[in-house]
Amino acid sequence: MNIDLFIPCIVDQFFPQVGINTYKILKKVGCNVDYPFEQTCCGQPAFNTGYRKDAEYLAKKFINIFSKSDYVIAPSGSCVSMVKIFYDRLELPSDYQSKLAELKGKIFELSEFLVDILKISDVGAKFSGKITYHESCHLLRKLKIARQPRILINNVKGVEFVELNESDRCCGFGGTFSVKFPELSTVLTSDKIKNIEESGAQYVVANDSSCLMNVEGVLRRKGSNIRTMHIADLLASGI
Amino acid sequence: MEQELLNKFATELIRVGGEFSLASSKIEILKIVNKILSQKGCNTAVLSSHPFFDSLKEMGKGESGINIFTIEQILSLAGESDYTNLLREKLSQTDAGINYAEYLIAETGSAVVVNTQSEPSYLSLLPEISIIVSKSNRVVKDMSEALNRLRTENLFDSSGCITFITGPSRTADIEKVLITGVHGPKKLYVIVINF
Amino acid sequence: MIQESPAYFKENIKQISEDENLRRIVRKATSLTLSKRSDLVTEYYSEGKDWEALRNQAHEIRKKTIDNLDTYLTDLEDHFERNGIEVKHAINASEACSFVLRILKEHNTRLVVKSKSMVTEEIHLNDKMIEAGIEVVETDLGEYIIQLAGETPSHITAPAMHKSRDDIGKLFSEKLGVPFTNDPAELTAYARRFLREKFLKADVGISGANFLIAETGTVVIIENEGNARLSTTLPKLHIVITGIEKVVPTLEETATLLKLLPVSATGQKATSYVSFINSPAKVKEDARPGKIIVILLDNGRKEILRRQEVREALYCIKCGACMNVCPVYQTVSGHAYGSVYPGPIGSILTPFLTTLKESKDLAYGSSLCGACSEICPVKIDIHNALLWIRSYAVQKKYTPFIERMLFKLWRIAMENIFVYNFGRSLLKFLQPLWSDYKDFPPLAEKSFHQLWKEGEIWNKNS
Ligand code: SF4
Repeated sequence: MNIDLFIPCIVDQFFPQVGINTYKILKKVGCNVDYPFEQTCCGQPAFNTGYRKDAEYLAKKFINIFSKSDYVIAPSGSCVSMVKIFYDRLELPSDYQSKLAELKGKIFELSEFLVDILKISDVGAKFSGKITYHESCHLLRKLKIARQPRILINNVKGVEFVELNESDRCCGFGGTFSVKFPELSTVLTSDKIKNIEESGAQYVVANDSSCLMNVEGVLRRKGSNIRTMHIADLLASGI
Repeated sequence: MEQELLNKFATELIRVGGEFSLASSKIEILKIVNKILSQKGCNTAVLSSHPFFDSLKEMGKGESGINIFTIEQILSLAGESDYTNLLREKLSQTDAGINYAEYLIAETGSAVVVNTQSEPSYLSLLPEISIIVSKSNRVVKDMSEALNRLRTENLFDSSGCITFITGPSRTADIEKVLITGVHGPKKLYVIVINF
Repeated sequence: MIQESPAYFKENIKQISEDENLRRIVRKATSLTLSKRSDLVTEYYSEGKDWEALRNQAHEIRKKTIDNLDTYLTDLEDHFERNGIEVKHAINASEACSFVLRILKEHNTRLVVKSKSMVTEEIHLNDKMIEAGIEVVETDLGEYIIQLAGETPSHITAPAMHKSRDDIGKLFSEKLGVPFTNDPAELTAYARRFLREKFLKADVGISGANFLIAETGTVVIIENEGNARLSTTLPKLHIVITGIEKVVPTLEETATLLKLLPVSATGQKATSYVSFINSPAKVKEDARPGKIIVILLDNGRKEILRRQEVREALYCIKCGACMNVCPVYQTVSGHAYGSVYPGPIGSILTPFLTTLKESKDLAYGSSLCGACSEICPVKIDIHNALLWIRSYAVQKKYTPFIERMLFKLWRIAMENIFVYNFGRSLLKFLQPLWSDYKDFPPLAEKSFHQLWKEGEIWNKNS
């Protein structure tokens, strides 16, 4: 299976190991993986802040880069939902629209791709520790992905999995929201952290680096020992 | 089917804090009413003048020493003076109001009261106890069936005001604590006669 | 001080974010309502019924109605007229208020009892009536509490949600001169006593409406306390003030909405009372108001109707579920928004009821988690509407200058992979945006791009 990686800009700049691990996992399960080098960002930050013209430009660029791919896989629910759901809100020329329609059927978030398309529930990872799972908002509500990550996490040897109370409550990131309303965002993140602490987990796993960056930001500020972990990092452990 | 609907109605009514009883005859309705009234220490009650109660008006009076007025009586009492005022006054002082419900709604435990001259809206609203009587063959599945039936039986358009009553008056405006009897009845009883 | 204007949203938020007491009360209340709601939805499915299908049905009903609003309004008016209900159209708040004042004057009104109505809050009717020397009493317990406190509602279905029982106890003893108690049952009993007296003396009752049924000319009012029934039956005149979007074509369709509304609003299958008001009293024996006047308010609604991207906001049946479920609302409560309609739906409505310029920040006060769209009984895509309002604010250049410049730079960086990779070091400037509250992560030593280019990735992992 030929796959093109889409590595969101946050991952690219701050957490490249998430990209590397995504690559590793996909290789491990027998895919041919490539990385179209000209890619930058899907345009979500601009779109979410209201700068649609800028988002449109990047959407076109994105569609050009990926429209010929067999599969496009990204370690992010948020960026995949941008393409799958929110690109429809942009005013794209009709030739782009038809390419987009096709692309929407080929782009997947990593865990969804593994479980639903490749029918893999165990990637052969090993990790020892107590883990809980936070549902990233767009992953859960826009892409309706909730079952797949849990299947994969539960099959990692050595993992003790605990459910997180209010796992579907927003961590308070919201991109531009956390910049415009930092105190409010931090209250929401602290609520999340309280639940994480109460779960007794040592690690909180999620499918989006943006949420994790936000949660980790407050965890560190608090001096907590709990760490965040992208699902790709977990699934690549020991493989 | 009818039994099923009735059971469902009773369950839902109890769930919203209403009380349910079944009467096998009209006489038994009176007995139940009297029992409720004396249990609650009531002295006065006002009875709807809906035709359903025609045969009941005179029966059972005095049995428990409770004064039961009918709407008609209040109307004739008023004579030339202000009827509405008298009605308000009477119903504000009375302990219980007894209504007839055209339908009962199984899904929600609601009673459908058509407010008319023989049973004005105040009757199920001003007294602290509301007693509603209906027939077992008048239980419908849900609100949409109730509304449909009201229309086909020409009750909807002909009435100025129809009320679906589900349990006693309630509020949760103070820290979400449920309190009954905030403005209307504290207690709601529904008596269903087997028909 | 919390400012009663959406223009102060940011300042309000800053202040309220620190109020842990308020947060505790509001979270407790909203979670309780939400859990009752979700229990009922679960039960609904367990009875073999499909809640999702019901929501879809309701969405279609609202869509059809709003898309053909004028037709249904004409239908409604015809039937109101047939039933003897008077109708007036008010373009904006001041027109609505002056209609009401004129009517009250004509009827020599001294005392008005009101049952809960957000539309009258929207047009600030109480202030106007009081100015005109009329005694106005709110009769819904929550509204009564708010009126005594001289505040505005903080939630559209639970106006006093932000108050603790102690707050209310103190308020009652201060304003009503009753001995202090914080027992909700006793407090409620006091309110009953005080308000019953007012009901019996009132000249006019003013209410809102939950639905207006076009095919029958019916005003539908939903409530739990009985205060709406009292307000609409005891006085001789009943004035209904409501928005034009409240129309529902048929009785059958009303039944569908009636199933969704209480479950979503308070976690009840049905409220204690649903009143279907068809006509004024025809004879004195009816013992109801001899006159009913309905005022249909536009006040920005037609503007919403014209904007395809936010039109769905008019589908709203004002259940308040989107507020209960919103993490932002749960944290800051309703007053922070400085608007009559707080929370997610409020952030869409407010720019059209006031101006976009003063209320543009509201749409940004959402983390876009989408919980609101997911819970909304009529499936309004709230998320999408919020995004559109943001883009509208950008289009109008209402966003900060620096932000616009930053996005210009950002776009240049993102357009071209070489600039993008070169611009890496600029990202360090993001740090201060968070640093008061959170630790911003360090940039990776090498980006994925770099690692890929250098062959790091495929060499090691092939
Ligand atoms: S937008 Fe939807 S959830 Fe929010 S109040 Fe309106 S109907 Fe309820």
